[in-house]
Formats: sequence, C-alpha cells, structure tokens
Amino acid sequence: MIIRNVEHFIVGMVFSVIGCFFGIYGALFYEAGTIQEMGPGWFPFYISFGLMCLGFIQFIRSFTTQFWKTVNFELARPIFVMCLIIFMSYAWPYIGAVTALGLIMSASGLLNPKYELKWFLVSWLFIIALLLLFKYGLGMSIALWI
Amino acid sequence: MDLVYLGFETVFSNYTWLYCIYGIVLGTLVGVLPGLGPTATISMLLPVTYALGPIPSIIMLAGIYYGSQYGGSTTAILLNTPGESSAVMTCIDGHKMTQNGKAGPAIFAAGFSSFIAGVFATILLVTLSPMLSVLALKFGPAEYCALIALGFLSVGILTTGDIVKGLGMCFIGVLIGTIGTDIQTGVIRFAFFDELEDGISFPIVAIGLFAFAEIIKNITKDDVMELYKGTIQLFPSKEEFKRIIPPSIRGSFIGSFLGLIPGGSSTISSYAAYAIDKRYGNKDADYGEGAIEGVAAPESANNAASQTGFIPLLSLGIPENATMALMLGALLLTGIVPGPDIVSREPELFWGLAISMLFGNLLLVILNIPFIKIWVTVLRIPYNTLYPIIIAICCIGIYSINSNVNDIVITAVLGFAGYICLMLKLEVAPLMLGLILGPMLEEYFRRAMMFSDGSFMIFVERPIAFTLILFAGVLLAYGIVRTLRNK
Repeated sequence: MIIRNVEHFIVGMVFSVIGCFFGIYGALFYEAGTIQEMGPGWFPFYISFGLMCLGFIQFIRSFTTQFWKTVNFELARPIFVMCLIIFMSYAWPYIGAVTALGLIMSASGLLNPKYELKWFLVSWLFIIALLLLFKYGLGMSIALWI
Repeated sequence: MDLVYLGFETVFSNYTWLYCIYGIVLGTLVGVLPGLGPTATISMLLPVTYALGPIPSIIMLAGIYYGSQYGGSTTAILLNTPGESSAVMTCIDGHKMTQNGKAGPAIFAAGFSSFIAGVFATILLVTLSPMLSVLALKFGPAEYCALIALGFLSVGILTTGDIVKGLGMCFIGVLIGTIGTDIQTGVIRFAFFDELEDGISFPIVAIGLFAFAEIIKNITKDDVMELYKGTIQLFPSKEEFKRIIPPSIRGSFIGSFLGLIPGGSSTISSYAAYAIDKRYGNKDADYGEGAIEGVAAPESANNAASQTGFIPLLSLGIPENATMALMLGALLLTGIVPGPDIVSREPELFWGLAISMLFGNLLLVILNIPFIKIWVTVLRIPYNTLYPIIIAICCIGIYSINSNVNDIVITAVLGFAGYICLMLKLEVAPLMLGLILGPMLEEYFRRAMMFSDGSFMIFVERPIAFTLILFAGVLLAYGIVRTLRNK
C-alpha cells in the first residue's frame, strides 16, 4: 500500500501514539471501576480508545484518499528557538532574568538577517523596564541580575 | 433600569474603564499588525487575569477581541493586507477605494459601520442572554454533559471542517485535562513530574500553543511592509455617508445571527454579509471596484459576530472560536463558570461587560478615525523586530504565574508542538476547548451515571438533554458528510 496523503498519515500516527500512551498507562496504573462508580482510570481509558480509533481512521484515509499530499515544513529554526528557550530557562536562576531574556532576544533575533542591533537595544531596555515593573510594581519574586 | 445602572457603575468605578481602554487600544494595535492576532495576545495576557480579578480582565480581553476587528480593517484598506482573517472581504472594495484616493471615507465606513454593529450586537446581548437564564433551573448533569458534547462537536467540526482531526484534537485536550489530581478520588493521574500534580496550567498551554506556535511559524517570514504614502481624506461626502447606513444594518443582522451559532465566526459573517449585500444591496454600487457598501457590510458583520459570540459563551459555555475558547478559560481562571444562569449569578460581570462594549465601541470610533495616521505608522515596525520581544514578554508572563522556570520549558515544548499542529493543519482551538471543558465533562458524566445507575437512557428521558444530543447527532452527521466530501 502506498501512503497517498502524508499529512493524514502523520496525524493518524500522532493520534494513535497519544491514545495508546494514555490508554495503556491508564489501564495499567489506575483503577477503572464500574460505570456507576467510576474510578480514576475509566474516563481517560475510553477517551484514549476514541482517540486511537480516530487515529486508525486517519491511517485508512491516508491510504485511500484521492488527494495526494506530501508534508514539507522547516524544523531547524523552530527546534533552535525551542532549545534556546529551554536552555535559557534553566540558566535563568544563575544568570538572572535580564541576561537570560537578553540572550533569548538576541539569539532568536539573529535568525532573521534583517534584525538590527538598535532594535535589540530598544527591545532589551523595554524588557528591563517591564521586569522592574513586575518586580517592584507587582511584587513578583524574580532574580533580575547575576 | 437598575441593572443598566449596575453596568455603568461596574464600568466607571475602580478604574475598570481604564482596562476597557487598554483592551481596545491593544486590540486595535494587534489588529493593525499582521502576524500578531487577538488569540496570541489574549493568551499572553492570561496570567494578568490572576492579578486583575474577573471583571476588569474579561472587559479588557473582550476589548482586545473586538478592537482587533476594527484594527484589522485598517491594513486591509490601506495596504491590501488584512490584519485579521475577518478583514479579508474588506480588502476587495476597501483597497480599491484607497487606490481611488478615498482611503479616508473607506476607513470612516469601516469604523462607523462597526460602531452601528457594535451597538446592535450589545442590545442583542442584553436582550437574549437573560432569556436563557430561565433554562438554568432545568439543567442537571445530563444536560451539561450533552451541552459539552455539543460544544465539542460544533467547535471540532465547524472550526476545522474535518471531523476526525477536530474530534481528535478535542480528545487530546480532554486527555491533557486529566493530568493532575482526580477531584473525585484524589488519585494523581499522569503526573510524571512534581509540577504536573496540580495539572497543566491553562495559560501555559494557551501561550505555548497559540503565542509561541504563532511566533515560530512567523519567524521565517519577512513582513517588512511598505508604509502607505497617499493622501488620507478623513470624512466621506454626505452622499457616501447615506450609503453606509443600509449595508451596515444588513451586516449587523447577518453578523449578529451568525455570531450566535457556534462556529459561525466573524470571518464567515463578513463573507456572508458581502455576498448578500452584493446580491440584494444597492444595485448602483460597483462592488469590487471600490464601493463603500463593500466595506460597510463585511465590517459591520464581523464586528457584530465578534460581540454576539459572547451570548453562547456566557450563557452556554460554548466558544465559537479559538479566541472565545481563551475567553472561556479566562472566566474559569477567575472562578466564573459560564451557564444559563450567569445573568442572575454574576450581574456585575454581565452588565459591566455589556456597558463596556457600548463604551468601547464609541471609543473605537474616536480612536480609529482621527488617529488613523498613528495606526498607519505602526505598520513600519517589521515583524522580525517584534518577535524576540514577544518571546521575552511571554517568558515573563509564564514565569509570573508560579515563579517557576519549568513552566517556561513546558511552554516552549508546547509551542513547538503547536507549530507542528499548524503545519499539519490541526486546529488547536478544539484542543483548548477539550482542555477547558474536559474536567467538567468527566465530573458531569460521573454524576449523570451515578444518578441513572449506569443507564445511558438518562440522555433520552430528559427533554433538554435529548434535544441537545439530537443537535449533536445532526452535527455529527453533517461533519461526517463534509469530511467524506473532502476525503
């Protein structure tokens, strides 16, 4: 069989994997109970089962559809942004919010060749002002500096 | 009359009116800026609702929503670039008017017709919502269950057009909603980290799936736009002014009606209003070539729809689109549960919101027309300058919720997941609805099954529940047919 619609296929895979995960994990670790007296596992199990069914339908659609479709999207830059935010979030308590956010802004801004230094400085000043407002105006507990 | 007075008192005390102004200014701004919509903005501001309290936050978020409908028309008219999807129809005649040297009258028509629609929709809101409150006493667990199921189906089908994808996203949302402590049994479910024991916080999911995902999607785009350099004539002639009113009234009717139907978004309303006006409106108007009617009709419709959308949201808890789903989340975050009895239960919120809409619409006319040159200047800010600052603001907002950096990590991962969803044409609005209403559905379903001793006949024996299930069935059949056609 040939996958005619890759988009349907990936969606089917996503639904099935999530459904299987919640379904199997829930069935193994939480009591289902009866329909009159439901345990913590009853509701997630049946929702997971429904999701797996929908995933299965998507699989079938991907093989039988008349509309051929491939999927093509960029992953490098989105993954970079995600990793950058994760890395800086963990560094935040050690280097302070001002530095962490400045690094997030400068590194993510550099992804676009048209990003200029003057814009970065203006944005950073704005963020510092916002952080000061959150810390001293709203009383938020936040480490600003290193 | 006392209730109207209560509404005025709510808006004009404790500086609530300032939040209304803040909301509409911000809404107009995000409407003007392509790439940053009201959904992302509202999701970014959700953490603020904790500090503000229910009434100011809902008034502010509502202001952002209907303000963006106004703002979206400005770029559509001047630059042929709709700031919002609901302003697409405005491009057709609006930009033609600009090319004909009539940018001013076009913007005036958009602002004035939106004002008429806003007033019309607000009157409808205050008239219709109390009528639904009589149903409140008849609502038990079975009815709420059926209502939530109807909400899932309507949002799942009508916002995506594909029942499998829509329902699948709803189910994923419901499953995410089960993470954390089960209220009935006290068992902690699917919490693999300590932070998840109280469940995934709604603003974190919203900011991740909407704001971060949208930023990631737009990061590769080059949105430096050319500033409009033509002459802006501010007011229309007397003749043109007369021509604005009939299509505005027609558009208000169409938009108000479609706004009541879940899934009948402001975008659909503007399409419908334009099509109907072209077919039945002024025969002498040259639609498509810069007819002022072609601006007034879709603009009034999208604004009316965005406001009457609050009727199903407040009275039934059914959001008509992603922005409304976030609004529902904001209500729940502040401890307000929407329902048919909301008018009697939360009179300050309901009447305050209604009066703030009147006030906000008037203010939008004042803002949009004389300050149009300022809004045009905003267009000079390129998106590649904006997104790093939006990421930073989001990070501060997330951190402010629990003062925990792990929340930012979860949001970044969700942002990436949201980007993948966007690329796979998977709408995240049904997921949000599932997340918001999932725990309620579980609770009501449990109660319904306890009352009926495990019999599903409870959904057939109770007339309101049966009617709602019947509607859901019809919608399901429609969704299946529509999906099979698009197979």
